[in-house]
Parts: sequence; structure tokens; C-alpha cells
Amino acid sequence: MSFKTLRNLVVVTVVILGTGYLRMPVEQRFTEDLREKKAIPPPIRKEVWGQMGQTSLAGVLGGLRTLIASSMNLASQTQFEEKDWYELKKRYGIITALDPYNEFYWDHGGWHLAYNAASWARSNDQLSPRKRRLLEREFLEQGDAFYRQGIALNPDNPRLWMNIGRLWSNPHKRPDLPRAAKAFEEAAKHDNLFYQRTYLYVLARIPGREIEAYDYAQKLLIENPSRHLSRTTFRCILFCLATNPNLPKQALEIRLGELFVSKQQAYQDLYNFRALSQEKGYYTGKLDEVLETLIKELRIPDHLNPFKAGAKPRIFEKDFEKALNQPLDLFLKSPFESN
Amino acid sequence: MARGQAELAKHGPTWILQYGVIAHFFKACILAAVALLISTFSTSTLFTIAAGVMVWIIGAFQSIARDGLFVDSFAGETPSLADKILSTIISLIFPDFQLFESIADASVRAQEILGDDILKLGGLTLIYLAIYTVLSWFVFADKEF
Repeated sequence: MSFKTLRNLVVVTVVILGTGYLRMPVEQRFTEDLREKKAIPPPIRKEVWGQMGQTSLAGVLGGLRTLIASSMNLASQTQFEEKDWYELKKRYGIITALDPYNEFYWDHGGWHLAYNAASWARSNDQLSPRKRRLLEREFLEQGDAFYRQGIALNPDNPRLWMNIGRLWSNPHKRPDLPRAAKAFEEAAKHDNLFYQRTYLYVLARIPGREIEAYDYAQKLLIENPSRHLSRTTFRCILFCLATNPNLPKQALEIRLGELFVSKQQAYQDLYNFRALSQEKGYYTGKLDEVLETLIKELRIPDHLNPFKAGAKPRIFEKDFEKALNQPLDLFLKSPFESN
Repeated sequence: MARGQAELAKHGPTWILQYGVIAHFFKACILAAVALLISTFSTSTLFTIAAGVMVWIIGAFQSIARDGLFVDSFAGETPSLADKILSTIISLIFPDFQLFESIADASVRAQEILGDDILKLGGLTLIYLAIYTVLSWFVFADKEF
């Protein structure tokens, strides 16, 4: 090797190493800055690197992460059809590593685990009942954990919290209402009226938390009375919670006229709510007493009396109008007027 | 409805999408400069192409190596001494192409990229170009024809 070649090699190496030393912290700062803005995804976990196939690796190299994630998501339909849940979970691990800020993949992956895989385990006749229960519980927890991983990367997105809440409040799964309430509470912090009401509804289903539910309903009522009062379920729940004998003495008494347009309307809504609460387990307080009073006052026919005819799933307005055939007993104040 | 329309419009041909094109262009410029530097040493075109491709591939992983030096990995594992030495060498020698890829990817996702970020990326590209071009000139100046 001639002197010139050696000199060139030394100079090139020294310059590249020297400038590399200077630019390294600059590049790292820029990377972290972009990562904070979510323009750059977090580093891919070591175990996910190991699971990636050639296509995914090519995607990471070529800057086509989102495209590869999308095509892998479509291809995962095969694992779903074949009920290959462990492979499906692995795939969604890669998909979410490639495109971690896309809520859809977290939502979809969690749904596969917590709903499809868990339902498969629950209804699998080839397994013993104990094994079925264990496997179902395992998939439910995996779905929950998957949603939570998504939340860790997308903390501003309340929909994944809602998914967790729905999962643990679903009567067809293994309901765990306190756990669901915790998730709904997180979603409700995002200033969404629907999420706030959902949190209230689940609180009203947990025995022993009726006073907390009443306080929360009052808070919602102060914040946005007209929007919340326009929802029948909200009005019925609020009315029932207010009849709780354990409420402190200073708690506001709520009259029917403050929540319903007429006594007929009140009866119809409370009748339907009673049927709903039998299914979902809402707190009903003195609902039956109130219904009995209304039955006498409005001379409700027996086929619309839940204590005689048994509760029907739901009665619609036209059925009531036809059956009662009497002028509406309107209350003086509309419940939708905000104070 | 309006929110949906705005979301769709964000994924159309916006300025942010052009930033992705610019990021790819910057990356191509750096790769060309690297190829120029390699060609001053290499004795065949094939070697220049092969070495250029290797630099591109390693450059795509450079940020992972550098991340290991500056921040804890996502899995929370501490890199070993051998990992650290290898990461340092890779980080010092090779350009970080993942930065360019990520900006292009973010533009495809319609993620908010500021003009400021593109300026920074442009500055980084200029630095790379200056280093590799000056070195190429230095090596090539002594060549005899």
C-alpha cells in the first residue's frame, strides 16, 4: 500500500469518525424531537424483530411501514379464519410495531383476542369446561393487555379505554363492572358526553356505588343539562338514583316533572327502564313504588302493568297512546329547559 | 361529517406529502455522495454499487444502534459491552437513513410535519453531502490520468 493510499485512508477514517462523533447527538436529538411529535414510531421491541419476516423487514428498511402493516392486517384474515389465535396475536404484534400510532390496529387486534378468540374458547366443545373457562379468561386478559399497550402509545385516544370498558361490562363475556368503570372513567376524562354517560351507566350497575353514581350524575347535569336530559336512560337512571334512601339529607330531591314531559311519558320511560334494568342490573331504588303510584293515577290497563302482565322487553309510544286513550297529563316545566 | 372530510383531505396531495418526496430526494442525494466517495477507492463499478447498497441497508439500522447508546431500549434491556462497541462504530460511520424514511412514512400517514423539520433534515443532508464530497475531492485530487 503506497503512502498516499494510506494517508487517504487515515484522513477519510478520521474525518468520518470525527464528524460522526459531532453529528451523533444532533441526530439523536432530532430523532427524539420527531418521536415526541409521533412522526417517528418508538423503537421496535427485540422480540418483534425476531418475529418479523422478510416482507416486514423490507418494509422497515424501505420506509413502507404503514403499507406493510396494512397488507399484513388484511392477510391476518387467514389466521382468523383458521382460528390460529397465537399466530394472529403474533401478527398483530408486528402490525402494531410497524404502525403503532394507528388506533385501528390496536382496536382490531384487541377485538380478535378478547372477542373472537375468547368466544371460540368458550364455545369449544372439544375442551373440558374448566379448560374452556381458563382459555377464555386468558384471551380476555390478552385482549385487555393489547388494548392497554395501544393506550400507552396513544394516550390521547379514549376509544381504546372505551373498548376495555365495553369488554368488562359485556354481559355475554365475564363481566367485571368495577374494572369496566375504571376504564370508562378514563375515557370520560376526554370530555365526551357519550363517554361520560357510559361511565355513569356502569356506575349505576355496581352495587354499593349508587351514591357515587348519583354525585357523578349531578356533576353531568350541572355541566350540560339539556344534552344529558335529552337521553331517556340518563333521566331514568338519575330519577332512580335520586330515590336512594341512603343519600345524604342535603341531596336534591328530584320530582318526575323535572325529568319527564308528562306522567304518561314518565310511566312509559320508567316501564321500559325497568325492563332494561332487569337485563343490565341498573340500580332501581324506589322505581316499583313510583310505577305503582302512576298505575293508579293513570288507570293503566293490566296488559301494560308489569306487576300483573309481567315485563315486556319494551313498549313503544304508539302502544301507550292506543292503550291509554287519554289526554297527556303535562307537567308545567319542560325537563329540557336548562336552569 | 366535517371531521371525516377533513381527515380525508389530510390524506390527499398536501404539502406534507411533498415533504415525504423531499425526504426521499435528500436520502438519494446522500447515497449518491456515498457512492461517489466509494468510487474514489473502488476499482470496479460493481463494487461501488454493492458497497453503496450495503451502506444503505446499514444506514437503515443506524438509528437502532444509536438508540441503544442514548436511550433504554423499548424492552428495557441494557446493551452489553460488545453491543455498545458495535453500535458506536455503526453510529459514527454510517449515515442515519431511518430519519429520512420516518419523515416519508409520517407524511404518508398525514402526520403533522413542520417545515422546520424539513429544514433540519435539509441541513443534515447538506452536512452529509459536504463531508462525503470534500472527502471524495481530497482522495480524487491525487489521482493521475
